[in-house]
Amino acid sequence: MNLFSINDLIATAPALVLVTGAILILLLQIVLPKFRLQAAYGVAIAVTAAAILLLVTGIPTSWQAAGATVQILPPIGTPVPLTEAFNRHVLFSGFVSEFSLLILIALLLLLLNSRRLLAELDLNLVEAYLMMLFSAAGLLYFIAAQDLITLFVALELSSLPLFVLAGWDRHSKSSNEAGIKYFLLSVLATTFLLLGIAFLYGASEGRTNLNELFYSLSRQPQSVRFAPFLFGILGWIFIYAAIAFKTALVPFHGWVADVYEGSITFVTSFMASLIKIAAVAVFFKLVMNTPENHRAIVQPVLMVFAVGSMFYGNLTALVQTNLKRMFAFSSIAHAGYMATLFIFPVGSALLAEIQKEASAALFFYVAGYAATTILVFTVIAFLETGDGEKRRITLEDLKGLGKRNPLAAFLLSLGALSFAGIPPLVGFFGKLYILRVLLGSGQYILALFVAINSLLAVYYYARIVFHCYWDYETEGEKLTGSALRSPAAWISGMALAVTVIGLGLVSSPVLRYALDAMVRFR
Amino acid sequence: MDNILLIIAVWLPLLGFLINGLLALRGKPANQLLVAVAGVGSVAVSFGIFVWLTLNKQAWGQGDAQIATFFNWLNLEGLQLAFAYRFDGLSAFMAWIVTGIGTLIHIYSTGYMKEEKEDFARFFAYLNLFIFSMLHLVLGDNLALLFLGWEGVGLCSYLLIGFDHHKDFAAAAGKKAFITNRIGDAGFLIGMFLLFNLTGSLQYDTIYLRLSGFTDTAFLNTVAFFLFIGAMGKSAQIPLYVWLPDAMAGPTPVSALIHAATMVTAGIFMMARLAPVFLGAPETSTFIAFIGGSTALFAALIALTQTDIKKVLAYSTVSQLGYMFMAMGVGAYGAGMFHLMTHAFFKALLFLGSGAVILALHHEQDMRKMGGLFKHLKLLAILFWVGAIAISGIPGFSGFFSKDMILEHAYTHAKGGKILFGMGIVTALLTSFYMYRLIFLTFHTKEDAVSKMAHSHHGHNHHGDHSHHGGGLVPLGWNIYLPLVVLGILSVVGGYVGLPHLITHETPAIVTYFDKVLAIPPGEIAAGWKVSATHAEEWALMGGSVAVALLGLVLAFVIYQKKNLLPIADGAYRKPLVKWSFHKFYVDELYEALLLNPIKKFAFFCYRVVDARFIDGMVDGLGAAATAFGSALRRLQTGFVGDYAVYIVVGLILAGFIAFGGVK
Repeated sequence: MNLFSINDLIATAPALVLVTGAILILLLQIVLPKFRLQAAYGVAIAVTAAAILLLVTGIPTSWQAAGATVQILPPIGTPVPLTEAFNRHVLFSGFVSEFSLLILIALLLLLLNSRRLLAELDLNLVEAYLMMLFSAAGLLYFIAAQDLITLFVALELSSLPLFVLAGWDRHSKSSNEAGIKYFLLSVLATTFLLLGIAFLYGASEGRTNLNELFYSLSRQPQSVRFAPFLFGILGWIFIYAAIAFKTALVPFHGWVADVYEGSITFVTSFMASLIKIAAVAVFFKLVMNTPENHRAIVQPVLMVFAVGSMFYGNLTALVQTNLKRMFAFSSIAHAGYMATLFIFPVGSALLAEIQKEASAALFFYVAGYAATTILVFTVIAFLETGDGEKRRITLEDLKGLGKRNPLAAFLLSLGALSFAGIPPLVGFFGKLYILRVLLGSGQYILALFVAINSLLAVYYYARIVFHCYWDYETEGEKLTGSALRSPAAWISGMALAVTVIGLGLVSSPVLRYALDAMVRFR
Repeated sequence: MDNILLIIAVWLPLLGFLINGLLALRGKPANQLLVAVAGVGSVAVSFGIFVWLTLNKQAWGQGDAQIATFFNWLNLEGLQLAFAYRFDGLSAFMAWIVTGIGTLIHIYSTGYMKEEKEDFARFFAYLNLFIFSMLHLVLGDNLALLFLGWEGVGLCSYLLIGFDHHKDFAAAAGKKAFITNRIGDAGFLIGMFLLFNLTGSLQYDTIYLRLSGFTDTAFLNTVAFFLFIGAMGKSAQIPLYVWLPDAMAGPTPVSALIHAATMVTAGIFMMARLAPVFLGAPETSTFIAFIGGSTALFAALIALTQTDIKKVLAYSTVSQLGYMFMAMGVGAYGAGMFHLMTHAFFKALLFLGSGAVILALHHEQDMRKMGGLFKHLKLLAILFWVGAIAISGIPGFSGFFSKDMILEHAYTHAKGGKILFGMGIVTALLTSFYMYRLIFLTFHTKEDAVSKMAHSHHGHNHHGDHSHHGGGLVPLGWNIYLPLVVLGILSVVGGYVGLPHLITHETPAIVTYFDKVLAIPPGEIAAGWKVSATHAEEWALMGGSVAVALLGLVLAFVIYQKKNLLPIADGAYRKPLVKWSFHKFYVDELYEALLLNPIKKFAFFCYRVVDARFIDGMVDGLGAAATAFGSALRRLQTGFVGDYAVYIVVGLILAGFIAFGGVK
């Protein structure tokens, strides 16, 4: 075992910058008690921007020790060599960098809204920024983790602040309930994760590094008489279950609706975007690192997760009247769509090519999904507090919104149409690329399920647009106030709207870029 | 240089359209002088350019076509299409007619539409757009441009028929024209695709090249048949002629320009342009000749009893177009084009003349309320007589030469020539009769339209919008008369390019011209298409056609002038043939009963039963099922953490079963 060097720290610089920012916020609270809120907001945005910058430009080579191969992310677009740090507990590849970038951009867009949204609820406390930065840093480590132990620790780092954030509205019963529910069920999931790690440890004669695991397990005979193989299978199932919990896949979805609805909407959008990005990325990475002899056995389980999530999410969303709950169930369905990319034909000669295509499609889909989710939840959050008091928004409340609040109606409809997969919005192309991968690898049944579910989903998304623009019967005085009530929120909202439209229009180059960047991710 | 001029000539009317269109969009009465200058000027200059180009052009033979490429439109593998214009003998001929008569009718319109303050600019915008489209139709160097123009003129026709769109009948007539034409267009497209499939190109020269030596008669018959269906629609032949009489709902200059002189002859032009196809399809050609003959006869029969002055002329147009198709069908392309030209002259004259009458009488179109106008409108009456003499085939006037040439070629056609000739000669008699009937009823009966009008105004003063004119005639300006005089002169002299060889002992000039410019290998027509006729027979033919023309004149004179019989009020006709003729042989009713109602019923069946019950039921059922599922699944969402934990554990156990079920 080598000693840690400065290179290890440089390699994880984006995450470290976030952590540094969090600590700085704590210090500033003592140094500048009067301006602590402004300082926290500023620092959070500044460090996030800095982390993005670091990720995009990479660390200049002159900073490196002689002969070292440490490199974070070379300028966007160039092939990324693999970089390892902390004794191969952390590994950077194109795949990791892409998804890290996504997380940081989503964090920045969320932070821009945060101050106004939290202040309107009278919940603008310094600790909120602290929690978000810690959680995001945890997610960066989570994606980059190459060792199961690090994976576990990173997951905890990202989850613990979230429990706090879920219960952020301490005067609200439902918020407190959400925090507790999320915590209790997460504990269960974490248990499974540890149990799974233990099983794999045993099955592979004491390995926790994903790479080593892969090579060790892939040599096992695929036989019921070989106990380590069975333990290996059990291990994968437990680990998958834990990550599926984070991804919000059926049957580990129970918490989603209650926690999404109970938490304040700003936190909901944090969970629905950042956590989802990280969870699908890690899930994909784990599937990549499951050797084929194990995957052939475990894959049907994934298929049940994916198909079950699509149908459960969409069918349940059909009957929801509360907007946040509807989007909660819809997020389960979207997780299901993405999970279809975790399934590959067994014994295919083109496996590497299919996996590359799948990773690019996943990247594109989750990027579009995150942008649309943040957009929709931001609009909902602003609508909730529009007339001074917090309310729950139902579909009925949207009636005539197009007339009373054109911007909100437009943004909400834009998001709903993108989710529904209407061209030329980003949601359409996301589904298109998923279908292309599925059809290209011969998984016609899954493609059919995705298509059927896209159809199902159009109904409830279209209802939102319908209520906003066509249903003028009831002209309530509800839901007034601008959709984006601060300059920062306006910038963020417009950036998201442009992304939802623009990413669809330039989908082809983006996908190509993602494909090029995805070289080697195991 | 010439190529640039050619492109300018084609696109200039679009400039007029844009100017007038923008003026029309302002929504208030535009400056009429400005509109007139832009509208008339663009077409007149275009005409001037065509004249100049014609004078400049050295050779007119096949292969001497001047081709000006404006820009490449499509550049695909296997299909190159350019906005290219072809100036050759055929298209020059058509361009002269389109822009020449177009200019005259534009001038006329400045007088005729003067009262339409609000819609003046819109009217000229449409007319200019029509000229632009028509020039693409005739000058385009490939079938795609022809089709573009074909659809463009159809659109303009629709817009102009329904020009008074607030009147229900005008809007309905516009729709009828458009829809009927679509049936033809579908056939035309099929023919075009077949031709493309055969030759691999839409460009004329390539098509001609590939067709030379191609002898699969069955295939060419099919292509020709479908192309002719397109012509049926555009050029109003049985069974698709029904739209043209209704199209008279449009302003009269439109009837003259589009529905008499130019657009409706597009089918004839198309046949001339694709002569090699039709020459290779003798059976379809004979079929075309018989459709033409039948249409000529049938429409003339209807024209006999119509009381609306424009309706008479409309059926007359259908009938004359039938003559042209007869000529094209028997392979007499020169004769067909000749009649196209003379017809353009005298029919435009007659339409514009009738427009002048209508205008003078405060928009009265019923001939029963006219009469004795000769006293008041001497020049107009004389011009009208010129047109009538020309169309009825009195020697010395243009219609005589062209019609006689057609009848002669019909007679000598190898297949059913005698029958065709019989149809033609009877039509000539009917034509003469209905035309003079129109003249006598309008200009010569003893009762005076002016006093009739005054009477009706005193009786019930419902012509509120025109009451400020009082009872007198509306004065007609120089811009009404100038085009009429020019067209009158042309109606007389236009025929001398086609003096019959019986008199000159040589092939008529116009026939020589078209034999040269059309892509027809010399001598091709003679082989198998024609039987010869003796000189005596030919003299007899000519004598016969002159005789029937005079007979028609005499009959009309006796019935309407001497006995002073007025057509009886609608529906009072006793004799079946007269009654049927008056009711247009109930063709509209027949179509409605046989086609429209069944289709409508089927559509309602689809809507009420198939869609509303079956498909909607299915969709609603699926939706209801999905919602029911959702409601059931929703119950799993209890809100209790313990339940959720149970789901997780149960799910995990199930996952284990699924996975380990696969381990052998």
